[in-house]
Amino acid sequence: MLTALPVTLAAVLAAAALADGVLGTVPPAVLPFAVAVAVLGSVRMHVELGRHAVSVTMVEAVVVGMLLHLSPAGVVVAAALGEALVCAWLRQSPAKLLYNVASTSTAALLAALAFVGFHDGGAADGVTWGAALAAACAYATFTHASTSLAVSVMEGSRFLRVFTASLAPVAIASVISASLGLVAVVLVSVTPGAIALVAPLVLLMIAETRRLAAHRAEHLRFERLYAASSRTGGLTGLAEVLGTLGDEARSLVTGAAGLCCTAGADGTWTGVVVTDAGARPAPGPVVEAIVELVAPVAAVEVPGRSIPTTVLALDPSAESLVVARSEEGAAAPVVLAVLRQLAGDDGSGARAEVLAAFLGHASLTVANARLYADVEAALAHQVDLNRQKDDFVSAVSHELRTPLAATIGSVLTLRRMDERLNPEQRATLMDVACRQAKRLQRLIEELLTLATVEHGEAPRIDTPVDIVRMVDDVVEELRAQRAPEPLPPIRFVDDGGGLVRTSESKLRQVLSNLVENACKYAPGGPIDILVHHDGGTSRIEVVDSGPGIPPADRERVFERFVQLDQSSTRSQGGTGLGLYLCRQVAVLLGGTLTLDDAPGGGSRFVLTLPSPAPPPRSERFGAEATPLLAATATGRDPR
Amino acid sequence: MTTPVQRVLIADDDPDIRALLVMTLELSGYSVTEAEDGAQAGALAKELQPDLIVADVMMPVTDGFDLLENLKADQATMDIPVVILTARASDKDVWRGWQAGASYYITKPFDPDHLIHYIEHLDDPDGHPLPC
Repeated sequence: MLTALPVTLAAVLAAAALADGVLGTVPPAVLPFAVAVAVLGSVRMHVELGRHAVSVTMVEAVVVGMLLHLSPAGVVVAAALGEALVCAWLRQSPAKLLYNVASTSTAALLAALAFVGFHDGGAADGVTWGAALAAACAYATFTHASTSLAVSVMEGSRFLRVFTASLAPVAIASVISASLGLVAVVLVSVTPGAIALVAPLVLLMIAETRRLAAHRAEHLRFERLYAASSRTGGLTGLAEVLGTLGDEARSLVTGAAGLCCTAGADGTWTGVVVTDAGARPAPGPVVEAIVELVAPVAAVEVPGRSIPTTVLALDPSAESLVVARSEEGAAAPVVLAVLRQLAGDDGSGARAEVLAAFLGHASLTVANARLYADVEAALAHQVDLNRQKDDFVSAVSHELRTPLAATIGSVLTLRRMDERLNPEQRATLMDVACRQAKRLQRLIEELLTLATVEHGEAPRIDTPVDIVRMVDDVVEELRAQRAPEPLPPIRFVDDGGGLVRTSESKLRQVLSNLVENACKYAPGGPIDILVHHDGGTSRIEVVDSGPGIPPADRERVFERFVQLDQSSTRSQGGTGLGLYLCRQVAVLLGGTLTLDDAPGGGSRFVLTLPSPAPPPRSERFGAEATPLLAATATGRDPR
Repeated sequence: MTTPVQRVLIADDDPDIRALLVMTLELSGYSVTEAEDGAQAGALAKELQPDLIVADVMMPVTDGFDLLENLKADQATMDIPVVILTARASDKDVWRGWQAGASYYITKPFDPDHLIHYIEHLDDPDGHPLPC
C-alpha cells in the first residue's frame, strides 16, 4: 500500500509532463548514466534507526551530470534504471524495489523539471550550474523524504523524527557529492584529465561520509539504549520480559529477529524469539546453538556465513548476527541475539558493545521477573496452605461433632427416659454411646499422631523389628477387639525371615491400620499378608478379597477425611484419617504406601520400607494359611 | 393451623444417629421412617407426605441442602417443615440452611429433647426455643 503512493505520484507527474511536451526524447547516453547511478548507489552507508536503516549514497554527483547532459525523460529513465539495478544487486524484495524505483523516478522527474524551469537551454553559465546543483539537492531531499516515510511507517514512529534523525549525513553527503559532480562535469568538459584532480576528493568524501554515518548511527543507538532500559525496567512476567527484551535488542542493533534466552535454576536454557510477526518461544535447538555461539561476557557480530543453520532458519535473509552473553555471576544468565538483514560494517564492534551494555540491564530485569514469580508462587502456596488448614479445621470439627452427637444423645436419652426404655432399647443406646465414644477417642488419637507426623519428625529407625511377630500381634489384638465377632481368615506368607530395621511403634500403627481396613471391607476374607525382602527394600502387601477400589479413586483414599463409602466407614467406626496417616508414616519411615488391584479383584496395599540388612531366611504361615497360596506367592512348588 | 405432627421422616447416613433419632421420636409417640441418603429421603417425602422431615447435611448422593432445595421447589413437598440436623455449624452453613427454607436448624452434638420440644411446639411460634 505504501508503494502505491510514489507509483501514483510518478505516473501523474509523468503524464502531466508528457502532455506539456517538456520531457524530450531518451538518448542512448542514458545507459552509461544508469550504470554510474548503480555503481555509486551500491556504495551505501547506513544510518540505523531502530529496526530499519536509512541509506546514504552519493548518486547526486551523477544526477548533476544527467541534468546537464540528458533531457528530462532521459534523467528519469537513467535514475529509474540505476535504482532498479542497485535493488536487484542488493536482492531487495519486489515491493521494496517498486517503491524505491517509483520514488527515485519521481525525484528525478521533479529535479529535471526544476532544472528545465530555471535555465532556458542557454549557455553553460553560472545560472545553469546553480540550477543543476539546486535540482540535485531537490532530488536528494525528495528521496530522503520518501525513505523516511517508509521507515516511519514500518517502525511506527513519527515521520519528522525519522526524517531529522538521519538528515545530517544525508544532507552533507548530497550537497558535497552534487558539488563534486558539478565540478567534475565542468572540468571534464574542459579536459578529461581533470578527473584526476577530483578523484582523491571523492574518495576522501566517501570515507568521511561513512564515518559521519557510523557516528550518527552510534549516537542514535545510545539514545535507543537509554530508552530501551527505561522502557523495560518495570516488567514482571518472565515471558513478557523475554519478549520485550528481544524486541528492544532488535531495534537496538537494527535487526529483523531478536532472541532473548535465559537459563533457569536447573541450568536449562529457554528463549523467546521476536519478529515483526510478534513474540513466540524459541525452538530448543536454536537456543542451544545461540548459547554455544558465544562465551560468557562476550559480545560479537557474526557474518552471515558463520551463522549456524538452525539460527539462520529464523530469518534466511539475515546477513549478520549480533550476540552477547552475560557473565557467569550475573543476576540471571541471559543471552541476547539479533539477526540483521544488513551486512557487518565499521559499526560491528559498536553494535556488539551496545548489545553488551543492554545485557546488564536485561539480566537484572530477568532476575527481577524471576524473583517476582517466586514471590507470587510462595504467596499462592501460603494461601493454599491456609485454605487447606481451614478445610482441615472444618472437617475435624464435623468429624468430632458427629460421634459426640451420637454419644451425648444416647446418654441423655438413657438418663431422661430410663423408666420408659425396655432392656433392648437400653442396650442399643449403650452400644451407640460406647461405639461412638471409642470412635471419638480414636479420632483424637489419630489427630495427635497426625500433628507429630505432619511435623515431619523422623522417628529413630534403628530398632530391628520382627515383622512375623508384629503381624501376629496385630492380628491377635484385632481379634480381641472384635470378639466375639470372628476375624476373616488371614494368611501370612514371609519369603525370608522377618527383620526390618525401622521404628516399631510406627510400623505397628501402619500394619494395624491396613489389616483392620482389610477386615472391614472384606469381612468374609480371606486376607493375605505377604512379606518380601528384595535387596535393600522390604515389601509388605496386605491383599483383601473385598470389592476393590476403582483406579480413579485409588489416590483419593490417601487423602484426609475421604471416605469413599461413608455409611459403611462410619458404621465401622472409621475416622477418614487412617490411610492418610499410614501413608504419612510410611514416608516418614523412608518408604512408600501404594494401592493397586489384587488378582482376585480386591484391594492390594503395598508398603515398602528400606531394610539395610536382609534377614535370614525362614517361612511361616498364619493360622489359616494354605500351602497353595504360599507356593503362588513365593514362586516355589511345595510338592 | 396444620395438623399436629404424627409421621416424621429422618434422613442421616450415620446408622447410630438414625437409631438414636428413631428411638427418641418413637418414645415421644411419633411414627418414624428412615432414609440413608438425600435422594432416598426426597423420594420417600414425595411418596409418604410426612408431617415433618429431619435431615442431615453431609449425606451421600444428594446432600441435605440440595434435598431441602428440591423439597421446597416441588409443589408436592414444599409445605412439609424441614429441620436441618447437622455437624455443619459454621455461620455460613446455618445461613444457607435458613435461606434454603429450613424451618429449624440444629447443630450436632444436640439434645434430643430440643428436637422433640421443637416438634411439639411447631404451630406455636411463642413456644419455640430460640433458633441456635
